[in-house]
Amino acid sequence: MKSRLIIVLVLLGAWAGLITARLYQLQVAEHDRYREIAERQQRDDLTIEPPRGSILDARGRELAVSVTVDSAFVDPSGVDDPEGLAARLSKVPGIDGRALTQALGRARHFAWVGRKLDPKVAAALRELGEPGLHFLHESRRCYPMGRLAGSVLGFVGLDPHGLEGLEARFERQLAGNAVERTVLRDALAGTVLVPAMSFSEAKPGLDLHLTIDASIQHIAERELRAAVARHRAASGSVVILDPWSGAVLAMASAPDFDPNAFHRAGSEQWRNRVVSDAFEPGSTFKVITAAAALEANLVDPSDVFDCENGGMNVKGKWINDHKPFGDLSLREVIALSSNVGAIKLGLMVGDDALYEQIRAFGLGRPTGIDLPGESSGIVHPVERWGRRDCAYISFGQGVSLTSLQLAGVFAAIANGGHLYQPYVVAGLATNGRVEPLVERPVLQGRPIDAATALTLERMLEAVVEEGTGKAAAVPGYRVAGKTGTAQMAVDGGYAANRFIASFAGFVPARNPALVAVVRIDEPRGAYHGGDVAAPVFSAIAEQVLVYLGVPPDREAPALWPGEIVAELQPAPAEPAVTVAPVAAPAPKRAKETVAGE
Amino acid sequence: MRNAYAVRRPVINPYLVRERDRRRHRELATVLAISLAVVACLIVYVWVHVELLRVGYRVHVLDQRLGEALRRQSLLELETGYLSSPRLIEERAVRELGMRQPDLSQVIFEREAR
Repeated sequence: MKSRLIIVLVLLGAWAGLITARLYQLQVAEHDRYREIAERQQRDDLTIEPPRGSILDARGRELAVSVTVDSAFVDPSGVDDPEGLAARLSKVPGIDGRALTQALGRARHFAWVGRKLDPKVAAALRELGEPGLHFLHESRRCYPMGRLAGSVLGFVGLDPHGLEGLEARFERQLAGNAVERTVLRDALAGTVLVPAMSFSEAKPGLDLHLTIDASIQHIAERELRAAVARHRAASGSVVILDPWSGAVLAMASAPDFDPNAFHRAGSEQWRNRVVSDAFEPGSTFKVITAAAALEANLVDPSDVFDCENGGMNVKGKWINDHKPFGDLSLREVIALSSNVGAIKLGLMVGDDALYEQIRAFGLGRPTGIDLPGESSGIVHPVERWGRRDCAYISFGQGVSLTSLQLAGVFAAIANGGHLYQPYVVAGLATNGRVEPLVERPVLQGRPIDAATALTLERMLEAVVEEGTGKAAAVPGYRVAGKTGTAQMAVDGGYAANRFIASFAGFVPARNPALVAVVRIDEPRGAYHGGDVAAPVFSAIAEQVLVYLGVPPDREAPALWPGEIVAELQPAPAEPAVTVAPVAAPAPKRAKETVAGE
Repeated sequence: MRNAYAVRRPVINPYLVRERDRRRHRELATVLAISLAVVACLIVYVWVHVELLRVGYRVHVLDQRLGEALRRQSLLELETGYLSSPRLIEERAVRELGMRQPDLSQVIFEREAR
């Protein structure tokens, strides 16, 4: 009896000992290993990507927004008939059957069917109900206005990182901060968030508010595109600034591209030509020469220059004028764009003073605009100037600048001598409150005083009234501006038949609402700035002034029926006021063409 | 065990009262209190854990709803952007409504009453 009891006790003891040993093994000896296995099964670290901030125009219209869309993939290991599956999926429009078949043949466990699919395509795929087909959400960047301001906005790659333009420049602010979040997975593979583990929230990207107005941008792009096509030009650009702050109202490049399908365009089309492309300005630069002379009190607008009837010898080198001129006042030198007159003016100013004036206008260094890829242009230090450089620079050869820099120069003349830093980002916003990046406007200097600015403004009015820029006129408004025609610099020389036509100006001249620079590269046929670029300025300015509600500033009723004050006038029978400008007016050509300005 | 020598005598002890053992009472109370505290802690721990899971599920559901709402919002923003495109408006104004750009002489500029 006693021995049986002992046997039972021993067996029970052994059983208990085994259990204890196993428990010890599981709970103590291999604790870390099993804990790790359990955590791997139950816990998951998720990266929470915040929504990318939107880009909005000056009136809050969406230029770039991120939407969550479906991406579809297949696990080939779970598919019996990959080719049949590929054939069925490729019936959905937008799915490349051949590429899919190849991908299914190559991959073992994962093959994309399509990433960031159009919602209609995703819905069609879902309807197929293929068991091996899976979906996941991804963020896709969309540009609802298509090509509009494409070269300014830039674009985002498949992985949502900005690659060009504002998307790249403000990547950090737009992207926000992703966070890692630890979650529990239950037996049904559902997610159970456990606040104690991690509950940090992803910081969403900030919305970028631009100074660019989509309507003005559209007008500029439409007119530029039409001009490039009309003159069969290689490219072109337009920039429109608010002269009182440096805010960019529009910035257009041609040829352009649609950032929704950026890969279909070449890098040439991606470039923002307004900030990236420096060019020899030609006659528009004569304004700077005149500014230097006026600032130094060397001349008066009525002072007369002998323009040598077509050319002059400058230190052993003969330089032609585009047209023979006799005696011209300074005002006429600018209006008729005499090279000889400008050379004489430049030589009168001298190397140092001219160089100082050029630098005072901010040329030879980037403006600091909040866009990537800005060119500083080329202004050689005065110590490196040759003996004829001053003469060449006086009429716009031997220096290069961007359209944006040129717009800054004309804005300074327009606003009484203040050089403001141009900018396109009005501010960053979250929850509807816009906060500027820096206090605007940023004054970069005073290259000329108010009196000089006023004198130059009157001289530039004469360019449009009676000089080379008649085609830039806008009925009812005083326009001030300057034409430019420059031979393209090629391989250390100048191409004989490749030109850059430009026009820079502002309107209304005496209380400017906008400054614009139009540049057309390599036009065929007519190539003078007054024939090619000035009409574009006129067409754009006319529409933008109406859009901005800027009343005419001319008093002469012959050109303009007069400003109608609504209070005083009975309502007209059928005032044709459109929601948006809809068609380009016929370009207003100058009656007499002034060639070679 | 009962036998001939045994004399059964009644035990008269009703006057005796068992003295309360206060020390053992205190020990019992202490043990009970500790046990209750331990059980309470366990209950609280389990309750918190269960509540945590419940709230976790709830947060997950709300998170999904928020994500879906944000997704719809972004799609609506996209549509707003598309519909406010000047090019689109211009095309529809010209094609569908027969509108055209006004001549400058037809435009009336309102000036604020001074």
